[in-house]
Amino acid sequence: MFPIRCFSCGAVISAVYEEYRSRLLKGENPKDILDDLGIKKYCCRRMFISHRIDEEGREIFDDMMEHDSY
Amino acid sequence: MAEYRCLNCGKIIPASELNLKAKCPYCSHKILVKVRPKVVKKVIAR
Amino acid sequence: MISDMRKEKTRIGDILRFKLKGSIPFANAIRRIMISEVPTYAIEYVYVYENTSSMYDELIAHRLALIPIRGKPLSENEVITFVLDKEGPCTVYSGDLKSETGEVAFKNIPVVKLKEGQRLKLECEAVVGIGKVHAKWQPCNSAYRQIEEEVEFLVESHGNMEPEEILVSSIEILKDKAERVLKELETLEE
Repeated sequence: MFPIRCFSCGAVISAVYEEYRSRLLKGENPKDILDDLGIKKYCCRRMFISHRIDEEGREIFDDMMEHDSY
Repeated sequence: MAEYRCLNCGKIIPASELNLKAKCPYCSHKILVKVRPKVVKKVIAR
Repeated sequence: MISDMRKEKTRIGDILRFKLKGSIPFANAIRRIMISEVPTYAIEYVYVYENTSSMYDELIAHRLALIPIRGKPLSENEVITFVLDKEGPCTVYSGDLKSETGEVAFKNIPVVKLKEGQRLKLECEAVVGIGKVHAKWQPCNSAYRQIEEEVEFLVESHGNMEPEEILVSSIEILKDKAERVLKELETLEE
């Protein structure tokens, strides 16, 4: 799951994560999305860029859910 | 009273039915997982 | 003393810029109090009734604690209770935290994903605290720079309250502290 706050400065970045994700999956450039969402500081921007989402929008947590035995 | 769940058949078995052996009485599977107790857990969020 | 106030709204909080006529030590005192001593609400106790999600109780509690809660506390002992009850398949958002006395600052923060058959049921208590104890109570980020005779300030709020409110309460706290020092000095003289 995406971190709620930026590790370095504590800004609440996850409030715009859902929009970032949907626009990224449409094929937009991450730089343009982040500029548009108002994520200016590089500590916050690296949080988005280093969060791995594949082409179908799956993240690591989806794999964890699949392997759960419940 | 501790309860266990069989990883193979998913049945819930009380510890008294196991007789100190790690073996499911229904399917003979040897991996059993302890079930989460039905109590309210207080967690300090830090 | 304060001039040229400009406020800018962003998706993740408000940004306030203003100019202050004063010394650098005074500006630093205000900055430090804004970051670490202005009281705010944050979730501190989580009572887990049922959690069959793929995330541990402690991790969910930690994520819930980082969600900013709106409101300016009036006293130290105020408590806001939130209730959450969700069943999969779905994503649990911060907006699913229901309360009669308070509200979360952002409603679309993803907390945890649930698959078919998983359930999350809990109760949270938000208490008043300061950023010195834990960063979840920190209401803003702040920075300043000196330009000739003036100090230019930048305050980025995290959604708990408006940046102006943070500035006002930080000045009140500084005033209280200065008065306490003065009182102590007067008793020493006697």
